[in-house]
Parts: sequence; structure tokens; C-alpha cells
Amino acid sequence: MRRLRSARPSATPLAVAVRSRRRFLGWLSLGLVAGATGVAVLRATGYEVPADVRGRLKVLSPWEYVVLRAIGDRLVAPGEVNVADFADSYLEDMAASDRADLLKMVAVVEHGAPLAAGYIHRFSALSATEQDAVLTSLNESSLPLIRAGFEALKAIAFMAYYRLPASWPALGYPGPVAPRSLQ
Amino acid sequence: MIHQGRKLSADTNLDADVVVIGTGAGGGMAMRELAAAGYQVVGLEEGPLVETSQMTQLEDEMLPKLYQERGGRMNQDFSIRVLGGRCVGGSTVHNINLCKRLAPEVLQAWERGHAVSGLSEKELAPFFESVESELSVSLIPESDRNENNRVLERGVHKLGWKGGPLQHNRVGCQKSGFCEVGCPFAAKQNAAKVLVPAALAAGATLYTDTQALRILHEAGRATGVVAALLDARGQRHHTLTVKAKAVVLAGSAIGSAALAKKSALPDPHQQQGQRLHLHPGAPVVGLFEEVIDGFRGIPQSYECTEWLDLSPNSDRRVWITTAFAHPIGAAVTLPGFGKTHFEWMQRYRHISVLTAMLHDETSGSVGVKSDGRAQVEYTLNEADRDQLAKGLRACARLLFAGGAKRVLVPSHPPVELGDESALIGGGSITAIPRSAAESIGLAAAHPMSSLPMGDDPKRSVVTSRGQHHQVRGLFVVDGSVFPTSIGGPPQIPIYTLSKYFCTHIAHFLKS
Repeated sequence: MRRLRSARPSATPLAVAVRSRRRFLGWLSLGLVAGATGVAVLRATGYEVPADVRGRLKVLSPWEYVVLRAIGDRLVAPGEVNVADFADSYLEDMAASDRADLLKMVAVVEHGAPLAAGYIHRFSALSATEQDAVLTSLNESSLPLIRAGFEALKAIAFMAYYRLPASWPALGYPGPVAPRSLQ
Repeated sequence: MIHQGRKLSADTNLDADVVVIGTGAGGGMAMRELAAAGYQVVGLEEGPLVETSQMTQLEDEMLPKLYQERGGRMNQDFSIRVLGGRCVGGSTVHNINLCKRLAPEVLQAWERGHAVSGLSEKELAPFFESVESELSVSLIPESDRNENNRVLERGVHKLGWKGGPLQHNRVGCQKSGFCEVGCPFAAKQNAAKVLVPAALAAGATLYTDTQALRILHEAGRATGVVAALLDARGQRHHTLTVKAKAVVLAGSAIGSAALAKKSALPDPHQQQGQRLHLHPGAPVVGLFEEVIDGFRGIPQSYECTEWLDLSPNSDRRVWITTAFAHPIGAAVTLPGFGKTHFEWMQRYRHISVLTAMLHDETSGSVGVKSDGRAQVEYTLNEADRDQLAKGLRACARLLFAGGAKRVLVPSHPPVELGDESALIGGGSITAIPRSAAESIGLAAAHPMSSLPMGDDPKRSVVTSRGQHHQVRGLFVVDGSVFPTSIGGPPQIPIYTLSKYFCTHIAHFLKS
């Protein structure tokens, strides 16, 4: 994919202002990014999800499923866990407004963040290296709310992966020691 | 008798002497004290009853069962994770069992600065003694100190700083290290094990999965509570109404203040929910050559008090102790993602974590979201940011003194130090910049002061006896009543104040 400019946005006057007026401008900035990508979000086509998966999704739309899976593959070990499957279950019991906020962040990653990082294609269509560059730009964003949204996505991915006993040997973590009847 | 809201299938109306909202340290104590005194008590708990046989020690299973908002409650700008209990026993089910009395300096400050009466160290001593005896409070023996806490101890000794062992309320601890997700060995001598069963044995009735919606009051007098019976997914399906002579509020400083607002309690001086303190804290990670295995053993057994002076207007307001997490919690704390993050996770057995917790001056607030949940508004003030920066640097020095080869501050961007030379003297400012204290993620488990007590109704919400200034028969018995931050673990102070307030609640009921 063609890269337009640096993936790391420098500190801008807006960023400085946001730091001092974090909440109001933070929400504003997220709203602008989400709003600017709204048209693209509505065009939620071109996402291929197997019919059986599409049929069992509880809260995610097919495009959200594809994007969350792609995000998860870059945040934790690629191919070892399907973060989207976990998220679809986990988000089901989340408060509706929190779930909506999180899914807005998914839209930002898919449509807004690649543009801000210099790519003309949506996140799920980028190469792994390019996706890492986009995620790095979010991880290092000077906008606290963007960072917070990214931390929320990381939390979902890490929960999906590190809940699995298969992930523990690499850590040297032996797992629970609850009475055998519970394990 | 226990009724599970999820299993009831009709609207229900009850009469009682007293209805208690919440079953944590404050509510559990109130239920037991008042039931034992012969009063007809109905307890309401928003969360479920989680038996020890259900404590699987798995984070992804236990966090949603035991914590408010599944462990994900955040403040308004998502900079602080605010933890609180949502099960029978409240936060005492997942706390780390540290036991400290209210410091004399704090009690004196309340008396002199906040018009609190009758709560001197001497007056509270018999109540503290009774609570400590009942909850089997004891010094954590040196032999039970895990390597993470030994790191802190070594650091304190090497630097010549103040510190020492902590007290806890465990009996039969198996040192499994999973305190924050509930103890399957029933070692915690908490509200769920000690107080609620005793209340039930004395005749109290408990409704779980039952969320208080509003406190009923007429002409300045509390008359009961309307609550929602919740299904297994937390959705309201029927209503429970309890008419009572007294209402005892113990839903934590966040839940209680939110309920006060939802109930439209008279608040002529706009004090309700306006003085929230949180004890926010941040972690610092040390990397060691040797194995630490901080996930095993008693999580917190040693403290550093070098940077903690509880006198009013102190410039030392940081309490340092250990912090550790199981894999999901650790993953969320460590910086980055992908390969970089995984490299840190692979060092899991070799990391030690300390936390700098603020005895905060910042005043936040509690509001109500459009969906009825509590809204926590809290942004650290500049003085507290300075304290946090000092605390991060102090933690780094302790880790190096304890033997760390590298130290990581998981701020944005993360700060990684290869040696301690840059921390000492004038170098301290550049080694861990103040900006680290502005960007680091915080966690808070001690909400306080949202319905503060005092005898001046213009500056407080409840009296020094716990009764609402404007609504007779409404008592608050949780950390909401602390006029200030207390600078230490709040469970013993809450148990104790609740026990003390119950003497006044009983007097009120008699009259």
C-alpha cells in the first residue's frame, strides 16, 4: 500500500490544547474522527464472513467482526486466538453505551487511523507491517482519549488471549491452584 | 433467608424495621449488628451470591462476577479504572485484606477541620478492637512474605526508609495469590464469611441480584427503598418495595452517592457526591535476574511509609506497597502490543511490581449517567500529579535498591531505566519526567468522601452519627462518610464506623 506520510503524528497545537482541556476536546476529537469516517463506516461492504459465523454473531456486525479479528491478530499472537469471537461474547453483557463507545473505536481503527497515519486503505486491507504502524500511531497518540480507546481494544485482545491456558507456558505461569474440583 | 432476585417471578412488597443497601464492609456489619439486636432487617445486594466453591481463580470468569461493571468501570476520561465490589460481601470479597485503623492525624483533622465529633482515637478504640477481634486481624508473619514483598523490604532497608510489615484478616490462607478474584479456600474473614451469615442466622433476610433504584422519603423522613429484581444478565424484571423505619445506605462511595442523587434527597448545600476521593495509584515494574513469581503468596504484606505523612497539608502523600496481577491484569499493565508486549510478558516470572497510591487531595464527584449507572468525574489536580511523580520515582529507587536490573514506568510513552544513577539527586526530574505522572494509567479501589460526615450541615451530608442531615432515618455507613482521604486501606475503618453508627441506628429505632 502507498504510504503518504509518517505514521507518527507529531505534537500539534491541537494536541497541546487537548492535553490541557482533555475531556471536552478529547471527546470532540473522537467525534470528528468518527464523523469523518462515518460515510466509510456506512459503506460496510466487502467484508467476507463465513455464513456460519455471520449466523451466530450476537453483537458484532460482520464488518466489526472482520476488523476486530484483524486488530487482535496484531495485538496478540497472530492466528492463536480469534479475538473477534471472544469480543462478540464479551461485549454482549457490557453496558450498551460502553459497547457503543468501543465499537466507535473499532471504526476509528478501520477508517480514521489509517488515514491519519498516511494510508489510503482501510485497516483490514493493509499488510501486517502497515497495520502495526497504524496501531503504533494509536498507541503513541498525543490524544488521551484515542489512547484510552486503544487501551480498551488491547484489554479485549489480551483478555481473549491470556485467559487461555495455552498462553501460560510462555509466561512460566502455572495457572490456578484452586481445589481440583474447580479446575 | 436468602432470595435470589433472578429467581423471583413477581413484584414483591415487604415491611421491615430497617432495610440495608449493600452487603460489603459497611452493609454487612449493619445487617449483622441490627439483626443481632433483634430488629427485622432486609438486606439488598445488587450482585449475586458467589460461593467459595465458585471461585475458579480465573480472571475472565471472576471479574464479571465480583466487580462493578465487570471490572471495567472508568472515570469520565478513561484515565482511572475504578474498582468496586458487586456481590454478597462487596469489595471485601476481592480486596487484598489489608487492615489498618484510621490514623490519629486523620481523626484529628476531621475533628478540627470538618466538625466531626465523638470520633476520637480513644472513643473509637473499643470499636476497632471488637472488629479486629471478630475478623481475626493479625500481623502477616515474615515467613509468609513472598519475593515481590521481599523486594520492597530490601529496598526499604537499603535506602534507610520507613516501612514495615502489614496486618491482614486471613485465617487458613493457602498463599495461592488469587485474592483479587476471590478466595476458594474461604480464608478471608470478610463480610461474606463472617457478617452476612451471622445476620441471616439472627433472622435477617437478604435479596441478592436486587438493585436499589431509589430511597423513599416523605417530609424529611426515610420510609423505604424501591429496588429492581435483576435477571442473570443484570436486566430488571420485577420490582421489590421495602417499607422500613430506617434505611441504611452502604453501596460504596460511588453507588451510595449515585443513589442519593437518583432519589432526589434534599441537598440544600449541594454537598452530595461532591468530594469524592479515590486513592488512585500507579504501578512501577522492576525486572530481576532471579525468579520473583509475584503471582504466588500473599500479594501485599509489606509497606513503605517514607513518603506518607497523614498530617493535614502534608507534602508527603504517597503510600507504597506491592502490586501484582495475574496474566490478564499484567498484560493490560505492560506497555505496547504485539512482539514488544509479548517480550515483557515472557519476563512475567522475573518482574516485581510496586504501586504508588495517593492520599489524594483532589475532589472528584459522583453523578448519574443517562442509563442510570454512576458517573465518576475525577481529574487529578496539579498537587496530586506532583505527588504521583514523586511516588513513581520513589518506587523506581526502591526497585533498584531491591535488586532490579531495569525499571519500567508504564506511562505514555513508557520510561525504561537501566540503572539508578539517573534517579538520584538532580537527575531525578529527567529520569522519570513529570509527564509520566500525567499519562500513566491509574487504578483506584478506595472510593471515599462522596457523602461526608460532620456536624455542620452546610459542609457535610450526614451527621457524625451517620444520619442524613435532611432525611431522618436515613443512615450512611460506608466510606462515603469519610470527610477526607484516609491514606490507607479502608475496610477496617468502614467496618468500625458502621459498627459505631449502628449503636445510633438502634437508638433511633428505639425512639
